[in-house]
Amino acid sequence: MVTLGETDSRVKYRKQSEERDHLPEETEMFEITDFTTASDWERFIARLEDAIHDWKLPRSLPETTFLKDSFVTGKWKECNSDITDVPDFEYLIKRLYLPAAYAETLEAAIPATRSDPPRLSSLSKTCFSVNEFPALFEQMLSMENDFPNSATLHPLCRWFGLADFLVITASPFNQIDWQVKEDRIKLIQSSMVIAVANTKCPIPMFLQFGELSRLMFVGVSEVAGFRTLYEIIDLERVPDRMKTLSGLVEIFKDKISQRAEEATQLIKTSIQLTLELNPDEVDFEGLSDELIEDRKPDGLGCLPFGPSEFDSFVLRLLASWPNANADAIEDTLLHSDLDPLQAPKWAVQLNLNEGSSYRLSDTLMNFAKQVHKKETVQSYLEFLERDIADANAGDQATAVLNRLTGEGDERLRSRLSKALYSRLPTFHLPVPIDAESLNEILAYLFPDSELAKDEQRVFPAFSERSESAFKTIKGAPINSLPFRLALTIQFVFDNYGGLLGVAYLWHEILLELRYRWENGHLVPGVEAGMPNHGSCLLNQKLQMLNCCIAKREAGRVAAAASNDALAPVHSKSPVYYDGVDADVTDDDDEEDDEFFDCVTDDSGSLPGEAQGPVAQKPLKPEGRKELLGTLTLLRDTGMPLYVPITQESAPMTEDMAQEHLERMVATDDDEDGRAARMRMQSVALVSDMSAFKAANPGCVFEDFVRWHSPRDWEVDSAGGEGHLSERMSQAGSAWIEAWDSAEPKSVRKQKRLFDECVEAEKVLSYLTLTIGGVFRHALPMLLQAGLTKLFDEMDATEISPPCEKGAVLKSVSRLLSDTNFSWLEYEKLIKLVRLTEQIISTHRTLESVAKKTRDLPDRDGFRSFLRTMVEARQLTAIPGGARSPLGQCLAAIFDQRNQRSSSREGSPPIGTGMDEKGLKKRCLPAPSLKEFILRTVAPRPYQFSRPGVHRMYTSIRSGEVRIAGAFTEDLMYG
Amino acid sequence: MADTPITTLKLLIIGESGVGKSSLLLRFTDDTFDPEVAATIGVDFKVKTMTVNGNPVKLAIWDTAGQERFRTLTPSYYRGAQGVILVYDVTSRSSFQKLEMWLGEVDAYANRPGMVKMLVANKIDNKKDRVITRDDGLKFARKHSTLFIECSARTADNVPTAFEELVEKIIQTPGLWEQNLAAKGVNLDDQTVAVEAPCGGYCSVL
Repeated sequence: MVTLGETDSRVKYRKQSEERDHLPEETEMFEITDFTTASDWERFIARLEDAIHDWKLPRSLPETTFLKDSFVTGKWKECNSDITDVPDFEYLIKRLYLPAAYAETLEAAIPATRSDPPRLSSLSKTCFSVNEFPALFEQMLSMENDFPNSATLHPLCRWFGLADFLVITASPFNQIDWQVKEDRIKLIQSSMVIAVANTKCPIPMFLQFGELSRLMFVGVSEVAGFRTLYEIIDLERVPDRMKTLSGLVEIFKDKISQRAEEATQLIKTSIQLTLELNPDEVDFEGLSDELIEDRKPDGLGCLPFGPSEFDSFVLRLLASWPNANADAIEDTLLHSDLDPLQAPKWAVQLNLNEGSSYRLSDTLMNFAKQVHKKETVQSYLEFLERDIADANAGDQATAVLNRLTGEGDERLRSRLSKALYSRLPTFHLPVPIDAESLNEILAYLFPDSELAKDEQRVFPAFSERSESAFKTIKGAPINSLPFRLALTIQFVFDNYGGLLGVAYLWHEILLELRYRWENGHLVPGVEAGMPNHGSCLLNQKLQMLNCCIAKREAGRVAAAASNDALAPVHSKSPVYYDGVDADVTDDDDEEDDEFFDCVTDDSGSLPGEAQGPVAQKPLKPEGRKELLGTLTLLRDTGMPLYVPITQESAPMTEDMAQEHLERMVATDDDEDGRAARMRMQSVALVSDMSAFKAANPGCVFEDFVRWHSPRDWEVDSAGGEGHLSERMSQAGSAWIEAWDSAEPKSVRKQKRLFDECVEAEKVLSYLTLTIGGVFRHALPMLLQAGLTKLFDEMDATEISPPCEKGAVLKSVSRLLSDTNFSWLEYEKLIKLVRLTEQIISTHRTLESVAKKTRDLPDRDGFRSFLRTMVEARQLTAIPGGARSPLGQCLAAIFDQRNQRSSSREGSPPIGTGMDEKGLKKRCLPAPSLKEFILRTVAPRPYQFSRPGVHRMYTSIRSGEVRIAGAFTEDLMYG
Repeated sequence: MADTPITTLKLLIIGESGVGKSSLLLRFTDDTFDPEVAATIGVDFKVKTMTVNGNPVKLAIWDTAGQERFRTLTPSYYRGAQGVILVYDVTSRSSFQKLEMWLGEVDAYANRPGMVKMLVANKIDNKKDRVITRDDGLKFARKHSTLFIECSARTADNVPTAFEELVEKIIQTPGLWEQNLAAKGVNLDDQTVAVEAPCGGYCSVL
């Protein structure tokens, strides 16, 4: 066939010239092939052929046979093309094939399999000369890939044994509702026949029709003068005739139109019965109770693990009869030889259900999903209040109020924070967390409160993992407050009204934090010291809050001490600094009460001496810490040089540091910028200078340098007079500028570099988060807890799980440190967690099944088999079938009498009775799936036709029978 | 877009005051030397783009003050640094002796696993006053598995080499740096300025 595109224009041109000439020459007309009137149908055929040409399909397939199980192990390839330019014929064409790499040439294959019972192919070859036997028939007859055990394999491979084929499916653009119309299907089918014939396409071409999920196909192939039609029957009700092998053989023979008495041809069959063990359908004695016992709801301070309900896995026992003589097996409604216990081949496979939910992974996922919630905590609480207002029942409200804020109930809340509640809006319920639970939660979070002491409950704690990589996770220490907070949020989220509960909890926590700040109680369970930038921001903020509390408390203590001394002067100023500004408390002594944390070198001022504020004397030294060696002032020789008490640098959380960094980055990268940056940072330097000046009246810059930057005070080797280094002696440098601007002021009188009141308020206002923010800030710790839980479970199991601890830790640590939290990566992580969880608990369930099974012959052997099976999750052959020790164990597991109740319905179990070899009677469940493949080589349509290959695949499960038949006709003698 | 840097590396220069940290940086970035440049207050930085294996790499080099009083400011600058240049002055034994302390700071505050450390001996032009031999430096570097180079900011000897070696080493270390997916402007710290994550600003906080 000629390609259309080119010819169209040529034809037009000719036609035009024809009109112009008025005298067309008839000879020219003969050259014209007119495609302009080609119908859509014809053009569709042409497009189909184009696709086949474009893919350069070989004229004939190489004579190869595919290796055993290569359908499953091999890597299938795909070519795609689409037909879009023919109206109403928009289709996608796909070629799916297994590369020849997975095949061996026939010559090589035959000797290897010669020992097999008579092969159909070699049998049929008597009818062909060797070169003629089409590779396609070889594929259809090959038994190497019967019943491929793969869920992802294209069904056509399974049904027809094909390793190379084309499939046409309707494109989403296809507007015509052709799917139900038979004539439409026939139309396409005939297009395919034409296309296949025109192109000598060596592989079958299929059309998928109907709903995609129904998997309905028709197909055709033409090779070596044979046409094979592929058809599928799919029925919901299984006719009796199709239930048994004998019935199917009859159907098969009918189709080949062999009368029974003429059926001389050998019909070969491969049979596979699938028996399933579903943990949720089977009840071993007491097993499910036991498992449920394990899965009782987890309390505060725990994370759940394992399946939400049942383990979702299926243990499949595949009993098969490969390549049997169909007439030799009796399988009728009355009697069946197909007893799984007698099957020559057994294999088992563990299939995990992908979609099932597991609690640890679900918890981690659901928690993370909440970070998107934009509503503020406050808005949830207002909702609570409004609810009450709507109810508008005064008495009720009072009752609730009483119950909650409670006169009767003294133990309502953390005692520490009780004072506070009267001043804050009260939420007249129904609050999502009842008082008792809230008390418990607060006792868990704040174990130093009186409430917790009353409760005297021991909460579960996580044990620290030894993996050093855990430290690289930007979270918080195990069991610290932020860690427990995350667990509590999770607990409340799951058990107390979801987001509303969390909002309420967070509100309570903020109240508690504020109370602690205002009353000077350190927040317990928070890492001591400056904010640790290696931890998460929530941890840093709490550390910051504690820094503020500690600082203010230190101030209070110092103030109290000086209040004792200067009672009249420092009248009840709650905040230390307020008092400082009010007066000058200099005394004649060189010491006075010092700035907060600083250690005074002298054991404090004497009360008597500390009295009597005097007018400022500029030269009065103050704020001295200690002598600087034996150095003395340069100008005022004789005066020793003192190290001043200095302000501590301000603690910074990561976001503050970041802000500072950004301010610096915003400056120019030149001299001016440098100067600006220096000025920006010189506050601390100026403070040091002021303090120095105050401590050392009469000092000069050189003195300062000798203390602050001693290496810039250069002393000649001769030990003579020192001098400033070159860089320090530049007039107008930032240092000199700072020095000039610094007034002599002890730190007590200085502006504070770190104002804990401001900073504490900042922390508290920062923690007024959106509900998503609460989850976001807690996520790192929840992940820490989740991984700890997971790893603990991994250590506790005997199997080696699929997840590698190091890699998981690395991924989590990257997730939490990256500015770009990658959802993709998070989902990948959770998927892995889920699989691990599933495998571990599947193994656990199987173990207990084995434990519950009576008379298990080889318990230890079977347990190790279970282990490998769970680890590999691959089809495992059981050599010796039911007779092998392993097979007997499996039979025992599947034995229905070991199961208390079975939800299975339908046909009675088969395979009862005592084996003649003394095998125990086993009562196996009815197969959930029966599959048969029938194959033969027979002449069709007539007795004198050349024999072709016929194949029929049948699968029977409850409520469905599917027959996929491929029947061949000889076109030459047909 | 050929000159869009493939990555931005954060380097940190530390060491006692007066060992020549700022001078080294100035020599590297501007190829100048000025003994009168004022001592650094707090922290300073410079940006320079250099080419490694044909690829432009942007360097954000943070220069710190060596004075003890400034030291409490610096920990937050260690985070995210891929390379640290640890400088001592060959004419000052005390600057050499303090190296252990500086390495302690690095280990305490730096958070990038596999971060590259380089020990730099400065002021080798001053042969008259030299008290720390090359061997001393080598021994220290070996003991602490760092790179080692001797150089002089005054004469420019080895200064570019030092930076180049360090950067090359960082580039060769897998997982230590990330390819810039897009030019995000000046990115001096690994914690970029509020990158809009798919989850809506989720990440900049974490």
